[in-house]
Amino acid sequence: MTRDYSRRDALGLLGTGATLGLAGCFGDSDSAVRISGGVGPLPMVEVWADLYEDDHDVSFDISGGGTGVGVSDVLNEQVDIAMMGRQPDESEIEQGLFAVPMLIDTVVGTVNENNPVLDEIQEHGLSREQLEAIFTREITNWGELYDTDVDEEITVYGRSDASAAYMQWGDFLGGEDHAHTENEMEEWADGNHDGDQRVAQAIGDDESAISLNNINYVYDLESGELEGDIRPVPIDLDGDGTLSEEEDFYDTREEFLAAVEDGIYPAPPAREMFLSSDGAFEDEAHEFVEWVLTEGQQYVSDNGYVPLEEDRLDEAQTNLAEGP
Amino acid sequence: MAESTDTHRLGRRLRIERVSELWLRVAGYFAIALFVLIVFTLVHRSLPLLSEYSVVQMLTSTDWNPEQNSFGFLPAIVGTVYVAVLSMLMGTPIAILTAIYIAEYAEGRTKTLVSSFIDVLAAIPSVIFGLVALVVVVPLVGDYLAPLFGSSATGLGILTVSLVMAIVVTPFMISLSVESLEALPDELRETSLGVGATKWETIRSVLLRAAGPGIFSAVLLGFGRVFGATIVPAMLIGGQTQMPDSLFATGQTLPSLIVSDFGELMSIPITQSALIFVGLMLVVVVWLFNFGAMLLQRRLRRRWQY
Repeated sequence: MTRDYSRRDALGLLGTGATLGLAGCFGDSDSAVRISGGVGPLPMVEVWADLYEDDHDVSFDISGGGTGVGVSDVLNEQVDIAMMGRQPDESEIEQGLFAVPMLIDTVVGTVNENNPVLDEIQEHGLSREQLEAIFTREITNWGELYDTDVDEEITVYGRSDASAAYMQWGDFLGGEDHAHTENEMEEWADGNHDGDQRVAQAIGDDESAISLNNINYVYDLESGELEGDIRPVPIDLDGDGTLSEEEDFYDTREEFLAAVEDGIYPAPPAREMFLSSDGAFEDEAHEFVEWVLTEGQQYVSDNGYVPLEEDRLDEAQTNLAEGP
Repeated sequence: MAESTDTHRLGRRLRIERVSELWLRVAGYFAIALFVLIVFTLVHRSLPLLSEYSVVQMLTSTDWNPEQNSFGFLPAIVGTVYVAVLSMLMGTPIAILTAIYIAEYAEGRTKTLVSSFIDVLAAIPSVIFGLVALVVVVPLVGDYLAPLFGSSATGLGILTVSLVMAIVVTPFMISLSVESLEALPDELRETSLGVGATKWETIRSVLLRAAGPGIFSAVLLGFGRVFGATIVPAMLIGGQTQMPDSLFATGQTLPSLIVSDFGELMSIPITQSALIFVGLMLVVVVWLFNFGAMLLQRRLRRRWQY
């Protein structure tokens, strides 16, 4: 057996292959729809992309990075679609950003399952005013909230990373026309964690802590029941000190999502998430977004999000068709 | 005929010589070009911010609230300095003592074992230190250390980050210090012992001096690493851009400020510009540090010549 190729040939071949591969990266980027942006909507968009790929001849290239990264990518034409966990900013629209809503996501206040006043919280709930007082540190002891002997300092955790959920929570706490900014919230907190998962973990470790989480961290992903070591804080919507039949929908994810869909749970903290592009959506991206706003909506609830209401969907579809 | 092949061969060799020289030069200049490009990008992208706000005002303002267009960098600067200084205060003595032990006292298998473990420690990614610290150091500081000083901190904060960063950079400083101690010629030790000095006296007044410049630059490089550390502060500092009022207080460092705000704010031009300016500050400070270290090291070497 003689070898009829040299090591140099092999290396040359490898080099050519690598160059071609790289060229491929730059050359035919059009065959895949590229998406990047907010981590909040990421799981849902991945599910949508998988389903869409099965029936259509399109592939997807999806990455996270945060809403701002997605927007900056899409404006620099590095991706076709940006996922946004918040409404587009004025200055972003000025740069040509065009966004349509895709679904509603929700956060909820969270406490440890062994919270000293958990029974009272679950029976009476907390009003927006009470929650605001807790997060702005006017109330610092769990005992102050209810008529109990409990004497336990409240620890407040927030988010250290830029988080649309945290922003919406600040909007909600501030009430009608006064929103607390994310930075104010960060300053009031005892400590801030980087990401939803870490906040959930911190709440799970600390009996006296309160924070907020996406509902996918509160209810079990499979069963939709309350199984982990954190519990949602029911909101006493009318502030009468009790949790009436209508205000009590926190036992399962299904019940909770239904309440969000019916508009009983307030928005904010429930909030719309958006898909956006630089100018109008083009070609495959346009078709995908169109599909998301029609057939795609039926998969939303199973994944822990809330589908858009009829009216809003119609509006989004018209917007999409008309372009910016 | 033969002569022409010879000239041909010589010409070929010279050509190869020239080509390889060119290659090496390009590779060398590439590094410079890269640095210039990075600094240029940072400066260019910071300009929108610098043209609208005064640098002095931003550097001395404590109000960081990008949503309302106020950019005060002082809290992050103070946080960074606190963390860097505290980590070095805790890490340096340990690093130097360990280095002396490994270089001068440890022998045989113990020496191999200890020094190889330190190398392994230096190779652990810092995110792992961050994770372990979240589970171990944060509760330790929050539940035991803070109450001891009458503070009700949660365990996230400046002190926790400094503790962890001290652990992260120590192996690195040890390795470098051991190297400079071991590079000293044996005659130094023999001469000193020969005139009747004890081992500790030899180490203290001869070896540490001779290896001084090396150890000094190890410490400064360690300082630079703490200064630019990103993931550990981002995980453990508590992410509050306010002036820390105690060691247990939460805070922010310059790198963690970039990391935590980058995700949502890259798309708003003025905030992006502010974050890039933070990057520029980091590069300039770290560069000044390295430059200063180089100058000082040269001075020291001249003074402590043996």
